[in-house]
Amino acid sequence: MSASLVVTPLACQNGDCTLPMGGRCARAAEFADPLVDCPELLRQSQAPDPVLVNPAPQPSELLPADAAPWRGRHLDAEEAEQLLQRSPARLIAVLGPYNAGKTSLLASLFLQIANGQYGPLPYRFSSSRTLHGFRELVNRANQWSGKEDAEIVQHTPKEQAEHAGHFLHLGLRPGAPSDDRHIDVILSDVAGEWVSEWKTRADDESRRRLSFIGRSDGFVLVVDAAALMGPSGATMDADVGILIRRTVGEMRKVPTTRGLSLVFSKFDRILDQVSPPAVADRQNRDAWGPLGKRIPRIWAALGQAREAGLDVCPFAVSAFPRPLAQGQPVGVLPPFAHVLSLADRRERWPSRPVPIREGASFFSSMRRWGAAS
Amino acid sequence: MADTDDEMRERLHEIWGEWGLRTEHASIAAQLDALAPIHAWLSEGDAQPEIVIRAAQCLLADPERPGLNKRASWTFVRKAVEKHWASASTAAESVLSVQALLLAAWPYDSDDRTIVRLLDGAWEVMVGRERQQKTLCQWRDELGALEPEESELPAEGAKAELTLPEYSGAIPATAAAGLQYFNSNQATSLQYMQFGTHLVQVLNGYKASMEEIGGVLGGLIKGIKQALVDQESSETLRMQSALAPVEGMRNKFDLLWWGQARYCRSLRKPYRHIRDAGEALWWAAWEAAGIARDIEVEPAAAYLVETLSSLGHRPEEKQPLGRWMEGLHESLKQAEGRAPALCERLTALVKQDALGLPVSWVRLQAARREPLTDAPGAVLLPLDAEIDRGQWATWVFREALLDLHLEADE
Repeated sequence: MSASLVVTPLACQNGDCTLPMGGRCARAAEFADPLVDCPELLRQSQAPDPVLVNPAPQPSELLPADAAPWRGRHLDAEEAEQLLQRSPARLIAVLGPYNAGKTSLLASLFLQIANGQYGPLPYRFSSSRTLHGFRELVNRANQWSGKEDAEIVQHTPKEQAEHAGHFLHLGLRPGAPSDDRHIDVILSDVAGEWVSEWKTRADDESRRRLSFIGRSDGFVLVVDAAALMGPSGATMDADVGILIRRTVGEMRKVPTTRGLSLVFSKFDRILDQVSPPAVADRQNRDAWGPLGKRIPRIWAALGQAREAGLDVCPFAVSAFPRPLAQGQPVGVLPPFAHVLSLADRRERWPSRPVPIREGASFFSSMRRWGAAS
Repeated sequence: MADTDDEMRERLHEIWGEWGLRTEHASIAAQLDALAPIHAWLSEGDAQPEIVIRAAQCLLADPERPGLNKRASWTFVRKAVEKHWASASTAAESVLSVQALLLAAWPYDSDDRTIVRLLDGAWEVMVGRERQQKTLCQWRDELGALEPEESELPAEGAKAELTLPEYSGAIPATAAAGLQYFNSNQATSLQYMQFGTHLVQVLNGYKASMEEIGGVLGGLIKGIKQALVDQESSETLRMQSALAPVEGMRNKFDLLWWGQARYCRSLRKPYRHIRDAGEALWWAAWEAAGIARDIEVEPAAAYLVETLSSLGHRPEEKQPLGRWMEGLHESLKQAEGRAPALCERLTALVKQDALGLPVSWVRLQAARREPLTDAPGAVLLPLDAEIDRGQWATWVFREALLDLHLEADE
């Protein structure tokens, strides 16, 4: 094969190879350029293209019979449903207005846990069916120069393409050695415009798009802290307040407690005006200083959420305080740890009550040991 | 609970809703159509307890535990109804949707309740599975609910004109002997020093009475059964069903007497002479199960716990499930050949998949002189879940009963 040709890897016969999905060749150490030299790789030669690894639609006849039944990109509703039929996956709704930083938060979350930086998260990374989706986000974030007005990741498109995916997947394993479960976590990644339409219009189409909210096991509501402190802060406060109330309205149908993390994103941009409160003071509006004063509607809505049974906690987060090579994210994991701690509660089930027949003999009226009378 | 087609369909819709599955899924019609065949298959569990055990194991399994779809319980169930599931678009890994189908199609009116109840221990250590908890608890509690009361007498209008065989045994004459002695010696009976002696005589009389009553009942039942042989009229069936409570009554007498005597027949010594508490627990549970085969499980289990308590074993003492299993393993290894072997049917089931059956699995491992190192994967239960001695004793008792039930069916 000519080394001058740029090639696209289609599939690999080596089960450990993730190169076609944008990962690493399992035999990377053997070849100077596995993309060109590895004999196990099925590839397609093509005209030079600046993007070498391109998992574009692939001819199915070239795929091995046991190829993974997912594409690696964002999951669409059908694919998410397949996961839900396998196990009670934890669906976390990540919501917020346009440009709040939802996708950046997800990219940063992936970077941290894939890198083994778990912090307060009592889980470790195990798998992902949307590795390529995450990789695309991270690649884009890696190109960010650090300019505030430049996009860190591409905005999630609001156009509804056929089979467009709006969910990212993480397979997590609990940190406790005695707990060997594999927990599927599905994170919504929908356009801010959709959220706004659902919040205001709530017509059939917008309800259908965000129908997963009623099924969600937890909520991460993202709001741009810098925008709240800016000239349009009052409008933002009102919008997010309404969004929280709408979300609470959906949750009234769910009997068990869910977590709601309110993420003040891009917090690094307001550090000169507001200091993030101590962990114990997060629930105290005054502890948020000037920011707390700018969010009366949000705070009132959070009160309603608590009354409705949601376990609410605000967090200060900087997903990308600096370009990737120059700084670490701050506070990305705690909002997800909060939500997952409620979505993955491990409480013991109640004992089966032992019924006693009316007029039963003394023998028959003896109950189970330890059962409440 | 659900048993007609419509009820099962409605139930499946409810489960989907509660478990967060979409109810407008493309394969819905096929899944609904699969309910009736699965129901029919589960109903065969009346005659084949393996079906009930394997299906119950599938429901016990936490879908988030890895390798579930490779376990024998899963493949057994899946193989039996594969063509229905295939048309219902449930892939090999669709554990949650298959659990929903099993629950919705479960035949609540069948006779398999007893077997399901004997797996109750596993539900006591169940944790998490929040979305599934409500539905599974409903299923568990429904199967544990009261069954229609059995009449202790033949139905009204039934004229049993059978000629009962004459019973030559004497009517128990010693029933009141002890009390008569007590009454006739009232003067000394009231003195503290004499009281103990008289009480022993009263109890001896009571014991003799019980043995005679037991003998009379046993002979009577045997005689009636003999008289009913070859008679298949409805009257005969009514008579036979009327005998069941009488037999149960005798079992109760036996169990109560066993609990009072606190004597281990297997080791031929009083339980108080068995120094190891784990060993005493095992033998007590095993012997009680042998006596209590035909009586209600829960009262018998509660009586077992009280008997252990009277031996000085604190029923509220807690330790992790894994520790209880280790203790039992040690006791059984020490018992060597005296420990009864699992019956063949249960051995086959446990060898392939011991999900939710820790006692039977430990018995199997002890018999094979194998360690418990594979316990977490074998029984698929949270081994660090703390349970008290009372719970563990009832767990051992229930699985011993399961063994005896399956053995009786062999």
